[in-house]
Amino acid sequence: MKNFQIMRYLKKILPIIVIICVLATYAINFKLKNSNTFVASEVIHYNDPAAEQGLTPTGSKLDVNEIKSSAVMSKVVNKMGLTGIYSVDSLISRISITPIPDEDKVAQKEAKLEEGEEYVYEPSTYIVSFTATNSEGTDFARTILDETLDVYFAEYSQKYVNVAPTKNVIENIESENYDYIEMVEMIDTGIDETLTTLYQRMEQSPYYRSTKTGISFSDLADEFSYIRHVKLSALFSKIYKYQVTKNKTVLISDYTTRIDNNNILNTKEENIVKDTVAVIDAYVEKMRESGNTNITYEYILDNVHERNLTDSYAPGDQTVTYDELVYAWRDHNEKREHSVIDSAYCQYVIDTFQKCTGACGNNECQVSGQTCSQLHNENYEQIKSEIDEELKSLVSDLGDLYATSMKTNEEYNEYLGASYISVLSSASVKPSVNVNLYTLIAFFFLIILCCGGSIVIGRLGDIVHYIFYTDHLTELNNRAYFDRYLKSMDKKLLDDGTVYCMVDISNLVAINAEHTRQTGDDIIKMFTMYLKETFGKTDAEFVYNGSGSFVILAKDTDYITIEDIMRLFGLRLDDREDYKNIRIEYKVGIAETFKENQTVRKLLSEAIKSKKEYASEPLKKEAFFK
Amino acid sequence: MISTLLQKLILAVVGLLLVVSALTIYFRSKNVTKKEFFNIFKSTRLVSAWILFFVIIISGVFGIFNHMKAKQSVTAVVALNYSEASQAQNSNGTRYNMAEIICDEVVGKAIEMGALENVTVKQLKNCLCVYPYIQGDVNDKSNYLISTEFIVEYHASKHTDHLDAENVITLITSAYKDYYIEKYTDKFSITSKEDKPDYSTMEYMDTVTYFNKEITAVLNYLYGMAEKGPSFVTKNNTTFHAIAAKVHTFKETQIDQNLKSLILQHGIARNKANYIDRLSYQNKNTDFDKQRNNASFNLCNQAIDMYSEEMTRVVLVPTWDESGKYYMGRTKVGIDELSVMATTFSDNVASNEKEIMDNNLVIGKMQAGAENNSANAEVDALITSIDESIDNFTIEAINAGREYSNYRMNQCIAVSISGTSLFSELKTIIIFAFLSYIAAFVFAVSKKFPRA
Repeated sequence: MKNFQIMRYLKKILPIIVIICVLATYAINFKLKNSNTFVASEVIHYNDPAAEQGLTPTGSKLDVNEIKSSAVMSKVVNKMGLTGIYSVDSLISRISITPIPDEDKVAQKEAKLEEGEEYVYEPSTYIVSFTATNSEGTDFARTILDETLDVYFAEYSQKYVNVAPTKNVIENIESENYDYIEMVEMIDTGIDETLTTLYQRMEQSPYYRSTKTGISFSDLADEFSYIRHVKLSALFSKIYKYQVTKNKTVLISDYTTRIDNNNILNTKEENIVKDTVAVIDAYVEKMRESGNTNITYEYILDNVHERNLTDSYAPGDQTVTYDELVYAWRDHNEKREHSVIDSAYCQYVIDTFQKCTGACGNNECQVSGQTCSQLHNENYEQIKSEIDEELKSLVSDLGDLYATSMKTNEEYNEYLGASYISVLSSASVKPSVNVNLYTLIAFFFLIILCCGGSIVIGRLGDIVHYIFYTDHLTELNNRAYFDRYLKSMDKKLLDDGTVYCMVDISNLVAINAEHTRQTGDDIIKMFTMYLKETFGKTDAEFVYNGSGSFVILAKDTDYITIEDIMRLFGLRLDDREDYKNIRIEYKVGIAETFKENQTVRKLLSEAIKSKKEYASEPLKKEAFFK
Repeated sequence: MISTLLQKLILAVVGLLLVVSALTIYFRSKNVTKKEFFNIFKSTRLVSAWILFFVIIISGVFGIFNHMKAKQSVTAVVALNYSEASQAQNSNGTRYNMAEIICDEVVGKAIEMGALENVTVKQLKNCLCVYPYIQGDVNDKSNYLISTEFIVEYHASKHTDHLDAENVITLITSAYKDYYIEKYTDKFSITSKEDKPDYSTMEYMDTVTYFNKEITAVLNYLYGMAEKGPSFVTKNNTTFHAIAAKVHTFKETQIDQNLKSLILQHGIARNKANYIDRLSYQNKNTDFDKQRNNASFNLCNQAIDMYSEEMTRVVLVPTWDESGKYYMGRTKVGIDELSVMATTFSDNVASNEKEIMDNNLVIGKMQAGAENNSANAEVDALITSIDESIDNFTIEAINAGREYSNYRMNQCIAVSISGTSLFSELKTIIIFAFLSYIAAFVFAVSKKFPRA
């Protein structure tokens, strides 16, 4: 069998392999680039200590998936002008949130749980990622992620931090069927609530000033106070003074009912207070009897001491039951007292609107459905329309102020959001696949695959050739190979310069019989060796046709060259080292292609026809070709 | 872009020449022996007239197109130098968003500033991209990074190739700076003249309240700015604290003393009856508040009284104060909280009482005061003077604030613009010339190989 020489298998097809690999690599690169995605990621951290308990600042459960909620994403879509281009769901599906737990805390949690102690720990750091397709590009991925987090930060703050409302509750108050005094009361209550909220924010961020509106919470509070102090109180005063009402009967009924309700509330609260006092007494008595009032300070001290020193113990609400009972007593009493004062206020309103200004002759206003001013003041309608105008103006002013408050608050939400959630690593974009690296790997893989395939196929061909088409005595192509060759060349014309040469050992049978069969085989091997030797680098194929017959199929040569080679062969045979005592008779036939000899069988028959006999004599050297 | 296309075309021609020549050599190398193969290479002149001619001409043409292409692309680096930037925040504490560098508003502003013609915001925006100068790795904690430097790239398109690239990027960065200052630096809202009340119809005491509100707003702004830049000195050699002190003194003397005293001592009002009615209503209302506060105060005290002695025992606990110092604290019990609440209600009652007393004083003065036209004129003049002074203080405060913002923002956002350098262009041309020389040489060699 032929030697295993890698280059022999590759030499001919290496350029084809390279071209195929380059083209395939280009195709792979193209495919990878097109199917590649870009992932923009940012690391965020919830700064509030409650986040590690899985809670928001308000104490509700922290759900990080709110980052990709439709509420947030729909705002992102609107903000970026993507409405109709991208559906909210399609963007949501491309956002992923991965928690990054603190390894120390996880270990601490596991250790505590193993000891049977309760320990709550939830990750407070997360990687938020958005995946964009190749056509959308890196910028899109980064921008969507940035906008999503912008909106989420503001939403988080609004929902869990800056929860107190500054809503405009008096919007469209004039269109509702409220009486004047009720309207101004509602406005007053609205302003009061807004001021409470604003004071809270002032306390929280005293120097905060919106860069959008240029206003601080303190400025806003001053504006609301000013309106309340000047405009609202002027309206109140005017309404009372001129007894301005839409319907006196309804108004009086409303406030009378309020008094009645307060009375009922009073009774209810009084009962609760009595019960609470009873519970307090019973509680103290039981505590006394059980010895809980005599707890020594050492016990409490040790307990607190241990908790404070061993854990990062955050003290929560330490109100005890007794305190709660006393607070309940105070609260119910306060409700009762306040309802009494409210009843007094209601009575004041009723008195004001029922009061006779002195213009009535027979106290007719007392029985009338109209106030005294309505009945007797000539300017009543004008005053009423003035109040209508002032009320409209006041509502308008307050509306503007509430709008400014909302704007200021929006920015404050963004500010708080950024302080409650910090960014640990800003948005970075990376391709999901390293196209260049994978292309390089694919190229080398293809090269190795193609070369390996060529080597395996080539070697398999060698094995098949050796088994079926090689004569094992001479290691030359055998008769089967020659038959196949003849068949394959049947209908083809041979190229010019093709020369067939036939060499037969004529007395092989005699040699076998006279000496041994082994001697005959050795002489065949010797012929094989000398033929290969003399043909040297000539482009020729050797076939051993059996029974001491050789066929040499030479290309790109001519008759004379082959004749010279055969002459050399004869000389070499005469000069042989072995079997010098044996006479070897052999025939040589040579045929070259020309016009008439263009087919393989024709050329072969010509070679057979032209065979001439030669002999290599023992112990005597003679030239055969003279 | 035609220049880019032609540049690539030239590069493709040279590349193709090299590949075709190399393949020719490969296929024809079978027709020669090894010795002949090397002899052909040795015999080919390394420098010949036509090779030189080819290299110079093609490199020259390539250089022209390369220069044209380079002129269409410019890069700028926007660096954020303020302290909040390292926390990925704007200077007002909100979250920083890099995309704003090339947002519609900024691009629109740039077009407006440069009076750029025949280009829309969308077209110009499509030529711009922004990305962090260095980006971190979210998968590795040690590589977390907050980007504070951003690269803005401009590559002209067919819609914008008539614009000067360097001018465009300068306009964009300048517009962004303005946009940033406008959006994220401290501002103060001024009451416009149209929004000001009509002092001639406004009740005198209301004018005092209004002035107090206005001047308090100025003071709040100044105190806020003083908190941010306590040592900042304006061009007029003053500080926020100094301006605030001046405004405060003015408030105390001119508004709370002079104007208010003048009104009270003369007992003047635009509509005395109405104003007295209003104060009476306020007193009535405040009295209800006082009753509520008083009731709450009494209840707190009663609750403290009813606390059982046995249930109010306190113990000492180890604890730490706000500065982290260790001390033995006392446990809090309900009476502590009730006492604090009682104090608050007591304060409220006192405040209500003071308000009523103040109103009663005003009512008394108003009732005692007679019509006095000269006093009215005097007060009106003072009101006009105070209004002007408040306006001046407002302007002074705003100017100082703007000066501070500009000073801070100029340091906050640094911009450096860089186009393709001459050296970089030369480097590209030299590399291309070398490539074209190789192609020409290989082509010359390939021609010497026999066909068969």
